Amino acid sequence: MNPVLEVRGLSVEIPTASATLRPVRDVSFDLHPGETLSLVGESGSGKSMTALAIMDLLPRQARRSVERLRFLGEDLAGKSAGEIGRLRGAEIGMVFQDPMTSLNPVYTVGNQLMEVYLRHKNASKREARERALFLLDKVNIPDPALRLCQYPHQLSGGLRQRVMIAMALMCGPALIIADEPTTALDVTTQSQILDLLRSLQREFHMAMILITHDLGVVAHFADRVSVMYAGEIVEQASTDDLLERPMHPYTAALLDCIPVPGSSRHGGKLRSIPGVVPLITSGDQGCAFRRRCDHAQDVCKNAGIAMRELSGGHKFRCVLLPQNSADVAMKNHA
Amino acid sequence: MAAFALRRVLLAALVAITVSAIAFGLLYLSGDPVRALAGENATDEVIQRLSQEYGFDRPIGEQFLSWLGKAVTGDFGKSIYFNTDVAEMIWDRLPITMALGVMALGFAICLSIPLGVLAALRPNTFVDKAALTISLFGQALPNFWFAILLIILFGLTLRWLPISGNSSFAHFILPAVALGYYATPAFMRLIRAEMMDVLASDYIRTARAKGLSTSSVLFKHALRNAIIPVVSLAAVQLGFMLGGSVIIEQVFAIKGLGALAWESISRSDYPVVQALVLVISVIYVGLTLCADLLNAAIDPRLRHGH
Repeated sequence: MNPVLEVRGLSVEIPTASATLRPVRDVSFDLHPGETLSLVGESGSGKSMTALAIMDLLPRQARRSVERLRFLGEDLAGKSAGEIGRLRGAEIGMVFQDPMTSLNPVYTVGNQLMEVYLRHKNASKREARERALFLLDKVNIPDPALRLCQYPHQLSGGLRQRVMIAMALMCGPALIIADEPTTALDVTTQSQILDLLRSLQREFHMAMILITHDLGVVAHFADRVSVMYAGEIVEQASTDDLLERPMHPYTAALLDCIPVPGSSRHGGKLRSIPGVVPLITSGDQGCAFRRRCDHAQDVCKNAGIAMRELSGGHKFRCVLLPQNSADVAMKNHA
Repeated sequence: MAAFALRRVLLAALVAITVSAIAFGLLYLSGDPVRALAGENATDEVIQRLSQEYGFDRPIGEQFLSWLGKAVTGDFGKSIYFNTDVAEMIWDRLPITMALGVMALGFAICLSIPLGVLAALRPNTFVDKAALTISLFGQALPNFWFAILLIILFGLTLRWLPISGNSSFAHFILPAVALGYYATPAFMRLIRAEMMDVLASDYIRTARAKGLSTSSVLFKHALRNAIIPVVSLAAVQLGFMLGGSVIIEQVFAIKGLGALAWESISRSDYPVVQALVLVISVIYVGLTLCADLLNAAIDPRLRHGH
C-alpha cells in the first residue's frame, strides 16, 4: 500500500545572531492510509515545528531542507507556494492546539467554514453552506444553523475545537494533522474531542498525525508512535511495541513519569525527568539526551548516532546495547 | 448593538455637558468679563448697566443653564468685537476646516496604511527602514516649516498649486498634506505594530493552513483585526486637526475655524472663543462616538459587551 505521506530527512534551521538553531533534525517517517501516527515529546522537542515544516507554514526566519517529501505520491518539496496552498485545507486539514485563539474573532463561524470550501471547490455559497451544516452536525454541534451565524467568542472552547475539526474536514482531506488538539481543553472535553476525531477518521478514512505530549492519549489513539527529543525522532514503533518494550532511555523515562493509580512506586511521588530539552545548534553533536540520561557513557558524546532497527520496524537512536536498554525498560516497569 | 449604541450615546452626552461647563468657565478665567467688555475707563455705573444687560449679575449656575439652553438651539450670543451673530460666524467657517481636516486625515491614512502594512510584512528590511525614516521626518519637522517647504517647492518653484486662500479644491491640497503628514507617523507605527501582532496570531496561521490566498489572509483576516485601534486613532487625530489647524490655516491664509479662534483670542472676543471651544469639543465627542460605533461594526466582541 502506498503511503499517504513520506517524509525523509526533514530538517529545519533558524539562523540567529549567535548561532544556527536546529529545531528539527533529520526526521523521517511514513504514514499509511487510515493510520494514526503520534508524534510525542516534551515542549520544545520539535513536534509542532515538524508539522509546520510539512505544511510549509514555518515562520519566516526558518529554513527547511528535506530529502524527500511526498504526499499521495506527489512531490511536495519542489512545489511552489501557490501549489502547496492548493493542497493545504483541501487535501491536508489541520487542527491546532488552542481553539480560543485559532478562529478569527471578527468573522462568523459560517463565514470561516465556508471560505475553505469556496476557495478549494468550484462551489456556490449555497453548497458551501450545506457542507458547513453537514459537518457541524458531524462534529456533534447542536443547532448548527444557529452556530453558523455566531462568532467564535459566543462558543465554548470545546465547541470551538469542534468547529476547527469541521473546518479541517470541509474539503474531505486525505490527511489530518492534529497539533495537541486537546491540550487547551478541560479533561472531560478532551476525551470527547479525541473520540470524535477517531470516529471521523474512520468514517472518512483519513490518515492522521496526532501531536501530543500525553502518552495516555497515545496509548488509546495511535497506531504508531514517533518519540521526538530535541528535534530528532529517538524512537519509532507500533504503539503496543513501544509501550511494552521502550528501547530508548528517553522513552523509558517518559513512561516512568506516568502516575499509576494505587501504585506506590517512587514512594508515591510524581516522577519527572530533571532538566529541560536543550536547544540544539549547528555545533552540537552526540546524543541530545545524554545530559539527562541515567545511563549516559562517554560513547554518547560521539557524533552521528544512527537509528538502529529491531524486528517489526521498531527503531531507536541509542548506542547503548539493546539488551541494556531493555534492562532499563524492564527495571523501570518493575 | 442597540444597547451598546445607547450606552455610548449617553456617555458622549455626559462628556459633552462636562465640556460645555468648562467652555462656559473659560469666560471667567481671564478675570471679570464685564470689565473687559466695558474697557479701561468705564465708570461703575456703566459696568453695572452692562452687567445687567448681559446677565452677569445673576447666579453663575443660572447663567450657565441659560447659556447652555441657548447653545443647544444654536444661539451662541453676539460677538463682542463685531456685534454679529456668533453662530453665523462659526457656520461660515466650519465647512472649510472640516474639508481641510478630512482631506488631511485621508492623506495620512492613504500614506500610512500601505506603508505600515508593507513594513509589517517585511520587518527590518529596506522597506521597513524607509517607512520608519518617512515617519521620523513627519514627527521631527514642525508642520509650519514643512508647510513652508511645500509652498516653496510646489507653489513657488514648480507653480503647480496655489499657496493661499480657500476658494477651490486645489487650494486645500498643500495645507492638507502639511497637516496630514504630521499625523502619518502615528498611524504608520500603529498599523505596523498591529499588523505584526496579528500576522503572528494563531488565527492567521489557521487562515494559511486553510490554503487561502495571500490577499485573503492579508486583507480579509489580518487587516480587519489590525484596523480596529486605527479607527480610534483616526477619530482622535481628526479632532486634533480640527482644533489644531490654527497654524496651518495661518500659513496658507485659510479662513477656517482655526483662524477664527486665533483672531478671536487676540481680540478677547470671549463669546466666540467659548462657542468655538464648545463646537470643536462636541465634534470631537461625536467623532469618538462614531469611532466606537464603527469599531463595534468591525469587531463583534465589542457589540456583545466583551
